[in-house]
Amino acid sequence: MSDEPPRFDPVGFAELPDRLALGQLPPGRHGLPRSFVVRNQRLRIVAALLRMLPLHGYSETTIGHITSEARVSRQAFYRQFAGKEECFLEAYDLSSAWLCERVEDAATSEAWPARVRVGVGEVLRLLAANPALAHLIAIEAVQAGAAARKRQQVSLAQLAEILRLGRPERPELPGDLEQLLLGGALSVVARHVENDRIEQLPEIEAALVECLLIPYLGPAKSKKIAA
Amino acid sequence: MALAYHGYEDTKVTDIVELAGVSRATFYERFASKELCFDAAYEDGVERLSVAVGEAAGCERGWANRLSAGLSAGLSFLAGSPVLAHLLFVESLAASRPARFEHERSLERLAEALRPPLGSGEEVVSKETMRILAGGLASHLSGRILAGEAERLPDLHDALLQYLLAPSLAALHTADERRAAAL
Repeated sequence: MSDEPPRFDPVGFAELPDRLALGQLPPGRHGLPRSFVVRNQRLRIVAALLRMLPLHGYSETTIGHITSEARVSRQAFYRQFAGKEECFLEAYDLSSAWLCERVEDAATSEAWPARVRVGVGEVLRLLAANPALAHLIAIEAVQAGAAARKRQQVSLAQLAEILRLGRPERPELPGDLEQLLLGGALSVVARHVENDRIEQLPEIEAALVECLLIPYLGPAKSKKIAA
Repeated sequence: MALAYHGYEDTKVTDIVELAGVSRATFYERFASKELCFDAAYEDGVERLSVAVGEAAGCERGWANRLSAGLSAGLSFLAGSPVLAHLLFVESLAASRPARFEHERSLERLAEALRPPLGSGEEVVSKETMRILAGGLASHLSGRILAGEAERLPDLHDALLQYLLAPSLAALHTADERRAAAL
């Protein structure tokens, strides 16, 4: 795949007209509906949080950081969100939905076990092209408290669902095997992010695929498919 | 103790000395900073956990039995010390960078401990696979502990044992199949 991997941008993501997508709406009468303006502001705040997280980390990121990056007032922030955590959870939800959707699209035409390779490859490619997203998913979501961790479990379960479609039935294996292994894979992704190796994330594809296939195919066969 | 009440980020040296019943001066005699105090608590906790696991595993024969006994002892240990469980599996991830590297080292150690001894003719499960397996275990425990379910960790024993055995059993299984096919 030589085409440029897509960039995650929650503001552009809302399919706003290009000229408005990344900036502030023009002041005064712009003739845009009120609901559109509110939604734009909300996404702009989320995008600002995403940009601040790699710089400060979840615990050190302040509402002030977010509002000055988003160029909105404190009041405007609190009209949209009860606090930092709620804003974070929205950023997480948007990110993981975006990621899962793309992985599903990429994997959908493949049958297991090729499906696992394509799906894992796509996740790593997307994370490598979107460092803020890699930070959010692998590092900050682990540090942002119990609610964030629950969301993380849900998205891992979703991803597991996509990857395991069509795998052989093995009643002796735990039902959430893929989800558990993906939790482990995420900890390896986190190690890469910590070591400033986000761009090199696609390098770990073979190891992750091998690990996800081994319980079904054994080491030798899994290694061959993963390579 | 203070960590469990306030979380790593919000814990002040004042909270620690108050709970420990020592003076600020005594604290700084022993530790240069909160970070070093955390590191010491983490190291001590990992040591106690691995002693509990190692002792239980050492009483058993056979790799799968040792794994089962070690897992059971580890889960009971954590269930009996929820504050320590929180420190080892939750706070260590939220702490400063050096502490997170320490956590990575523990995961590598765990991965090594989970690896089966090599028998003849078995296919080898790679080191990286065991590291991912260990990471999956730690992350699952971490989620449960964070959700306030530390006391119920022993209930997870059977499912987690199945999980930990899966790659190695598959290695045995496919090696057997291969031998059978060769006959």
